[in-house]
Parts: sequence; C-alpha cells; structure tokens
Amino acid sequence: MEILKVAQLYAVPAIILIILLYAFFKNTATFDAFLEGAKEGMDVSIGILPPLIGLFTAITVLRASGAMDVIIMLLKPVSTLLGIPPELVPLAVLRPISGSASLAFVSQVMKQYGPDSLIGVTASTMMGSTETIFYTLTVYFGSVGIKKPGYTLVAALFADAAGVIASVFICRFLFS
Amino acid sequence: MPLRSSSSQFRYYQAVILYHCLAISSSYTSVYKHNYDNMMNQIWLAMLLGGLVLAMINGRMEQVTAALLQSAGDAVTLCLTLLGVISLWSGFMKIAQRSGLTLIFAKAARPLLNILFPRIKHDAAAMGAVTMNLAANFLGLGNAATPLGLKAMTELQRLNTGIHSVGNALAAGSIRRDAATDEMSMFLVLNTAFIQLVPSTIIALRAALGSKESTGITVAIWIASACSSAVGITAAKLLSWRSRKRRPKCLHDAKKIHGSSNNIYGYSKNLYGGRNGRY
Repeated sequence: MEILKVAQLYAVPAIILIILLYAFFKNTATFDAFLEGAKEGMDVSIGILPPLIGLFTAITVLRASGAMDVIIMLLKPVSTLLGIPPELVPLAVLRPISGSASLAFVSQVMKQYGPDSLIGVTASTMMGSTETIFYTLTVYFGSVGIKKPGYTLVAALFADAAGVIASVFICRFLFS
Repeated sequence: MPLRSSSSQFRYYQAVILYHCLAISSSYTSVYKHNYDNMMNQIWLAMLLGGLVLAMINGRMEQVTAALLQSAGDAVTLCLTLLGVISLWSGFMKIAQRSGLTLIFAKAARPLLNILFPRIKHDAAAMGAVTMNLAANFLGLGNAATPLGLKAMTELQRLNTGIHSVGNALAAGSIRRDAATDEMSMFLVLNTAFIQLVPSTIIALRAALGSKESTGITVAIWIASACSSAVGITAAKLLSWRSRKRRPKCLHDAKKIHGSSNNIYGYSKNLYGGRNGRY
C-alpha cells in the first residue's frame, strides 16, 4: 500500500524528469519542441469547445430537470449488481459514446461531491481508464472502408466494462 | 409546483426514460451502420428534449432556464482552465517525441505485440505503424496517435485477404474486403483500452476543480487500464478463435465449398494461417 502511495506522489514529476533528461542527453531543442507541442495542445482544447458547450448544456438540463435523478433511480438495480455507485452509472453509459459528454458529466459530479471524495476519485479513474470506443471504431474503420466490424465492438465493450468495474474496486481499496 | 398527481407523474417518468432508452439503443445500432454523427444527433436531442419535457412536468422550469443560461459560460470556463494543463502536457510529450523517447517505448512493447499479432509480426510496415500508434497513445500524444493509427489501419487493410467477408466466394472476379480482420480488431481493442502514462485531461480537470491531489489518481488509472486491456485482449482472442472456427480457412476453400474449384484469385491455400504463410 505504501509503495502505491509513494508511486502516486512521484509518478508525474519522475516522468517529466525522465523526458527532460533524455532530451538533454539527445541534444533535443527542448523549448522549441515544448512550444510546438503546447500550440497543438491549445488547438485541441479549443477544438473541443463547441461540442463541450452543447453537451455541457444538455447534461445540465438533465440534472436541473430532475431527469438525471430518475435515470439514476431506475438504474439502481444494475449499479448495485455491479457494485458501481449509482451516481456514476450515467458516466459508464456515456463514456463509450462521447468524450465531451463524459468530460462534462465528470466535471459536474466532481463539482457536486468534490474532486477528492470517493465518488470524485472514482469518476476520474473511470474517465481515465476508458475510451470513446464508438468514435474511435467509426473513424478507424471508416478510414479504410471496413463496413463489418465483426466482434470488435463486443471485445472493446468488454474491455470498457472491465475498466469501469476495476476503477470502482481500486478506488474503494486505495482511497477509503 | 408539479402539474400532475404523483402516479401519473410516474407514468410520465417512465415514458421519458423509455424514450431515452429507445434513443440510446437506436443510436447503438446506428453505429453498426457507421453513422456516428447521427448517433450524437439523436443522443443530444434526446437529452435536451427529455430534460425540457421532464422540467415542465416537474415544474422546474426556473432551474432549467437558469441552468441553460449558465452552463454555456461554465463550459467555456472549464475549457479555458483545461487549456493550460493540456497544453503543458502536450508540450512535454512533444519533447519526448522529438528526443526519440517514443521509439524506446515502441521497442519495449514489441515482444508483447509480436505475441498479440502472430500472423503479421514479420510485416515491418504494418507492425511499425501499429507499434508507433500504441506508443503515442501510451504517451498521450493525441495528435500524433491518430495519423499513425490511420496509417496502421491502411497497412492492416493491405493485408486483408477478404476472408472475413461472407459471400466473397460467390462474387465472381472481385474480392470484397469490407470486413474487419482479427488483426484490426485486436489493434482497435488495444487502441481503446491502452494505458496512458499521464492522464493529463483528468489531472487538468481535477486541478481546475480545486483538488488537493490532482495527480493522485494516476496509479489507480494505470491499474484500471491494465485490467481493461487484459480483458479486452482476452475477449478479442477468444472471439477471434470462435469466429475462425465458423469460417472457411481461406478463399480457396470457400470457393470449393461453394462448388467451384478454379482458383481465379491466385491465392495460395497457405496464405492465411497456413504454416508456410506469407505473413
């Protein structure tokens, strides 16, 4: 347990250190590379703004109208069966479909419960360990004209479900 | 003030939920027809319509109006706060890419990938693109990962014999290659379930919302992603094994089954999965 806590603390600075040291030994123009990367990152962030506005609004409307509570209430049997906190079931449903929608949902959940609460931490882990399967599959298969994905979607959804359930258990184990 | 009695209100809830379920399930099917945009249209519409209708039933129009007006601004604030950390990480990762650190990760992943892609492991172009895409994913290089991934798909499509497309044997002269191969499935499962070294978007989001330990979820995400990858790889292998049992070994066999024996495609019997296969 202690090792994991130390790893949590050192992971990010250690990674930056390794990147910088390796670049130093390889004589890379670090600041130039950094600027170019940061510019790309900026373009990406600005690029997600339109879908984020649209989906943020939709999710806020769902929450304010009470529809989210009803959905959570109705999905309660499923969530207790799988051991997922009921508040996070909508995230598990949204995540494979839309990255912006799940980002909006996670930010609202964390605002409500606090980013360091068990629910906030679990939401972060779920968001980080799963991917926008439908989008990726559509773009990648579409690019080479594959029309029959076969079992790909099923396998990817299995992986997604495993990520969701694993997140819940790991967070319960690490953070409570 | 609720407009209706509680029992009829519950019926309305049910109707709204049913509507949502229908919208989402129809969206899931529309993805099978490769219509992601259409799916997002349906989901977005379902969320907004469902929310607005329920707000009228619930008498919560006031909150919804306030939410509508405020959320757009909130989204912009969120995006701008994320912008800083995402750009910072993107910058660091660009340094990693320039210095060649990505290549080291790619080299380290190669033995594992040789096990996962046994039939194409000697095809340098395909394996190179697959490996580089996964390495870019691992480092969170979103911009670099997508072009590399599309390159990998092109290479995998080059190796697509059309064996997975049902009815190919009956189509005279031309081979349809519109079905995913086992390698493509494995690649996409890996792509969507792969571990990310630094989950920068989440860290940025947590920092923006005032977390005291915004990087504290890194190890948890690694472990959860590892579980996800393991299950995805197992599922893909099992499903490929199951589907292989159901289809003919190669196009030549398929043609034989359908009663014609001349090999107009010029493929050897060993092309796919045979011991002397080209791969």
